[in-house]
Amino acid sequence: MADPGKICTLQIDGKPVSVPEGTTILEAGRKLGIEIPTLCHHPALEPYGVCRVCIVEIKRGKRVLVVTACNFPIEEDGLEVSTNSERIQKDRRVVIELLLARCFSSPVIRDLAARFGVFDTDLEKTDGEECILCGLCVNVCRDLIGQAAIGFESRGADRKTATPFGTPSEECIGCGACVYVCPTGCIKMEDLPEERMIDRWMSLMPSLKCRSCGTAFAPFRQLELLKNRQPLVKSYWETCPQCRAKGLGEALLGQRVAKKEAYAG
Amino acid sequence: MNRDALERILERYRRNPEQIIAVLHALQDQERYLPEEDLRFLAKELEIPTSQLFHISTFYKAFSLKPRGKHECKVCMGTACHVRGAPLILEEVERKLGIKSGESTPDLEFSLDTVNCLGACALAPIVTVDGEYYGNMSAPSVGKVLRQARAGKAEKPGKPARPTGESPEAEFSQARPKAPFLSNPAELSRYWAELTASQNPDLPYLAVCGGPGCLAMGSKDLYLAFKESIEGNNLGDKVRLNFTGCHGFCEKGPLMVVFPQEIFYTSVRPQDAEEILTKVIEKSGPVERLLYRESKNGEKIVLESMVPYYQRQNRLLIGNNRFINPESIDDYLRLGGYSALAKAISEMTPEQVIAEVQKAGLRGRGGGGFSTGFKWETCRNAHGEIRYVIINADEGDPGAFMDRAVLEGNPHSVLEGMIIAAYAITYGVSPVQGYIYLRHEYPLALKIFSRAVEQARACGLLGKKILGKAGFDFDVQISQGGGAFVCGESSALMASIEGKPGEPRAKYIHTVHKGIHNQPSNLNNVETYANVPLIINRGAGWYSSMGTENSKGTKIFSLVGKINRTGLVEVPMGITLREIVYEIGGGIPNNKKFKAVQTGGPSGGCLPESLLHLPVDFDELTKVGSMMGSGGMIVMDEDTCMVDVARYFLNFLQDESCGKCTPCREGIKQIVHILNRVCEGLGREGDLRRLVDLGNAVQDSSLCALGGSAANPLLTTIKYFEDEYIAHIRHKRCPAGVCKALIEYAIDKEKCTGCMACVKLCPRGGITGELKKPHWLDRQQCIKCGICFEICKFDAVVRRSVGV
Repeated sequence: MADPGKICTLQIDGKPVSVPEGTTILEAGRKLGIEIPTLCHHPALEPYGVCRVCIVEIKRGKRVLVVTACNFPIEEDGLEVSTNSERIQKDRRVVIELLLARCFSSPVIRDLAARFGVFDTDLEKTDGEECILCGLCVNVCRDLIGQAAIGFESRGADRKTATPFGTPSEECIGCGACVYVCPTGCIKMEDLPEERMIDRWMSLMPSLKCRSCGTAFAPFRQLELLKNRQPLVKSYWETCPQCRAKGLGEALLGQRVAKKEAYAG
Repeated sequence: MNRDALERILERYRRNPEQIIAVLHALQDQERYLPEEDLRFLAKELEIPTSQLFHISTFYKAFSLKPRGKHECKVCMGTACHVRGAPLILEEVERKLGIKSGESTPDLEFSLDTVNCLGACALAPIVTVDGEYYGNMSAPSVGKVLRQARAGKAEKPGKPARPTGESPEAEFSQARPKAPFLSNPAELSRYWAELTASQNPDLPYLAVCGGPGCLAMGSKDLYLAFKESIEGNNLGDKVRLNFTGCHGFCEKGPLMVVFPQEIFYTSVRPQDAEEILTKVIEKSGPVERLLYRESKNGEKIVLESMVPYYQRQNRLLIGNNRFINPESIDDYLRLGGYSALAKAISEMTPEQVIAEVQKAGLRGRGGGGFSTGFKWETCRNAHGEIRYVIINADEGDPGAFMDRAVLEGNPHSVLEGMIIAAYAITYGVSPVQGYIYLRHEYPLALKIFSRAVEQARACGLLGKKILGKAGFDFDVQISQGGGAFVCGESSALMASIEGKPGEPRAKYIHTVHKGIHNQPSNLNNVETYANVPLIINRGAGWYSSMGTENSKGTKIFSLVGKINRTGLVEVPMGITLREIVYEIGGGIPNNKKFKAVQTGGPSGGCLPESLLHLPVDFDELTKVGSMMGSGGMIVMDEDTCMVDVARYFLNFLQDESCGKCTPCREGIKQIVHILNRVCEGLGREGDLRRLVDLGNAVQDSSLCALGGSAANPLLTTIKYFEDEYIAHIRHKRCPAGVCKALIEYAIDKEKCTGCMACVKLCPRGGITGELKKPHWLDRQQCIKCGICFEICKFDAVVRRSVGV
């Protein structure tokens, strides 16, 4: 089992680096300034390891293996990692091309592909799809927010992200965490005059209006959850972030003015 | 479903969220689908997120969210069925019902589905309606089958068939004493002595095969005929009758063997029972006409062991099937059952058991070929508060039914092996819990194994202080699959046992260290466990004397496809593929030429004639791009198109991929897309290169073994049969005459007798002609369904490959 103090030394693309045992290849690479491309990785979540864009080649004694950098734990000395061998370049290009064929209309994916010299593909393209099924939205909703409002549906080529039974989820609180983590920006959120809308999940959440400016700024259900998690004064949750900042600024200014006046007086 | 009924289902599974798949099966069985409000209720009651339950309900193929038809029609798309023409049968069923696979008719009379393998490959191609098996189907007989199902009649065309979901043992009377509670090894040997003494070894014994193949050919009626005759003539003390598990030679079923002489009868019908019994009682020699013959005029062979099919086999694991009623623990005990367990716990330390298994050289029979002893040792040494010992009985490879035959024929041998494993892995280190993950498509195996577990509990072979061993408590829970091939992968299987969608996890830590609930978990295949009692009883030296340097013991294969003798074979490791195909299997039917043998199922590869000298050996088969796999062996002849075979397997894998990782989900889809194009004569220059690149990338970068081996059928067919790909791509020809877009049908005027059979049956009215005058086929009308080709008795309909 992991010995907390143990340091492992390895080589990435020929450069030596020492890291604590259990560090992933991705993290070790970053320490060296070697950027390994990822799509489904998010530092706040457990590695899911499904986009397979971060594949690297490792040499362990005589065996050469292809592994994903985001979740391969370094547990021994002497590992040799290659992030850009011929085999990796070839495989990664195919993986990226597969994503490009799936999400040809996604600017993010087209940019990524272009970085690897893939500008077009003769593979069968799917129309209008922008989701790469990286699972970040599903995982953040379940593991960080604790709501599990969305999940997957079906399997294989039919797999998609979905709300239960394709109807608006009872568990959605409209927090928008899924929107923030989505690497391709395919989940859209909009604050309407009375509610917040997340199109993809058919979520329409009534929002609280700011006590100060009157703008609807966050769904009641989201605030409910936040109130329970963050023990702050009740009034904190009644103003929108802008007014909160403004209020704080005004309060500080007011103090300043008062001080000056006192001094002058 | 009303709440009370749902509550009853929940109670039956103790409100255990792990058992959600079983709960959903129960709901689906009653309602014929999973109603949304019931699922929402279950989610609340079992505290499963609704989103997860929705995923489970849509992930497993056995479940449907839409109402299903009254009659369930299933077309088997297993490999054996595929090479014997299942796609044409499916098309005909779809045409007749007016729906596609996966749909129900608007009047909710029929639902149509494909299944990956029903495990009765000897009868290929197979269609089932409401659980009734219709074997050796042809497109022309589809209409008849459906008409009869609609009318609810039991009469069937072709060979008689019987439901295999129902236990053949329903009426089996247990005349013998019920095994008592055995509180120590001495009581076990005492009971064994009692069982042996109570039985006269010279008493004639009739073993009627109740394996899936024979059962579907009507062996239950045969058994009942014997039973009736024995009871009617008061012969109960003169002869012993048993309805057993699979004997192996499915091609010739229903089979039976008469002991002590070991007379072997094939294709026995109920009306033969009386005559056989008379001969047995009079001791007057065999019933000549039921004896086995190699060919029509060949010599009759009396003894089972003299039959060429069995001669090269070494039936260590399935041989005992003939002596066991799978629902009787007594039958197993009489053969010395559970003596290996008694020996292990009373004479050996757990370490010694592991050492013995390691020394024997036993390797995992599920396909991986990992050293069993080493796995056990690693699991024993892993850190954990509890350990799990699991049987992988999710036999998902199409064209494979070995595990089924062992589970349904000799369940206690598997259970005993598992209990020994539990002792070796956990005794003295941690508590242990057992699981069997059983494929949903094998209802009989579920029933038989559940019974075996109950009996073992009643005898003190499961539960607290097994056979009196202080500190050795072990029990088994049965988990059902939901129809997902990927659940054969260890981490997916364990996710499924935990009641989650069966997706493999992306973690570089083996399930031996962190499996179920992140605790050390030992997973072995059915056949692996069945080997264990033999090793403990007879010793590692004996065991390792069989086989090659690195592959020991025997291996069971299901030998199916274009082969003369279909069935289950158990051969010593090291035997060559050629010996299996020609000496045991009797070669290729109808004087056709051998083309390839496929091993390892969808993860394996197709090997050409030039590699038939290879021995059955884990490493040798891997070297050439295939694998031993769990034991499916599908033989293909000159009429099999290798591009179509590759497409078949990749299509299968596309359906079965969990869809979690990019290369497997998207890559296989693209490979199938290109293969479809090639088979339709629309292949482009460069497609071959493209296929290889895609295949390599999917192999390298997929998350689990399913994706990692998915390209094998593609890459091996390209490697060994490249010319067929080139014929398709460059010359738009299908040399085997399989790919529909590249063939045409025509009528040979010389041979046509004008019988009108094809004229009547052509679904498009595309054949015209008069009685006794040569017919004419209009190619514009032809949809290439092949019905005329099948129905013509005079070989007047020709199918030919057309080049462009």
